[in-house]
Amino acid sequence: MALGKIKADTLEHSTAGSLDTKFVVKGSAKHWSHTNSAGTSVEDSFNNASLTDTGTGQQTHNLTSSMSNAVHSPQCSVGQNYNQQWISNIATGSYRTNNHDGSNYQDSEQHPVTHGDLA
Amino acid sequence: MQTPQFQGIHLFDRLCWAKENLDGVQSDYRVVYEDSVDECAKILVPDPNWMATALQGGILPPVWVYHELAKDEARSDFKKHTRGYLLHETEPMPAMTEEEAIEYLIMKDCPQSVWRNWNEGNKPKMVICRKEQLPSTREWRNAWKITEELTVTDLAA
Repeated sequence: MALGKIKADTLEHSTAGSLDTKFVVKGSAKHWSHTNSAGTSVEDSFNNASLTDTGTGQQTHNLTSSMSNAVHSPQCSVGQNYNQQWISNIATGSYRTNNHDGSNYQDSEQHPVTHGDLA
Repeated sequence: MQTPQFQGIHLFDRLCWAKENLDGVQSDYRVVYEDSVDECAKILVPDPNWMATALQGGILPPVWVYHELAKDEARSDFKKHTRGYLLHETEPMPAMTEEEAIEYLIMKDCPQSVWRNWNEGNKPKMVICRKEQLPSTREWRNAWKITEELTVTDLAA
């Protein structure tokens, strides 16, 4: 792959109008991964250095290219129908996803993604 | 495949190149560590796409860059990184072996309190093992600990 550059501030469609390229750069997901239920392997990912199996239902996702600040916007979906999922321990280089059924943490495959600015 | 000259190129752009050109490498290594006596053992799992970049060389920054950013983030007045350029401007690491990549990953993603003195105390705080050496089921996962019977001498042998 050649590392050529196309520099453009605007993308323009023939009929649908134009879009500032900063919307694309700023709005794209900066990290995602797909882990297995036990938190013992990463199936596929982008900008993911490692996964930490922190305990039942809890996985910490460690980024390769860090975020600029610790107020980026992680989200996570899971593979089963549990009723509580939340994000904790957000730092510029990692965040933790938690999966709970209302009584206990439960293992599930997790699909975290975050948006925000890169360092 | 030859890695392009990446020094000065944003790390995220390098990862885009790697995703497009390198096949993931699933490592069998796992790192089990304990960073709190009140919590169960944690298990660090290398990412296959990350491992491919480590083995390829010329993509990842030296691990000290992450330590510098961590120092900045630990400051009470931290708002955002102002030295992110270290990730992109520092000369990238050459190709690593799988074992060297695991050592790098430990220093990047395990707490420093674990890996700096992993072999001090009554038992090791950290163990590198193969995936098949972990318990085969998730039963009592939140009670998993590094065994008391494992000594630093055992690990050296």
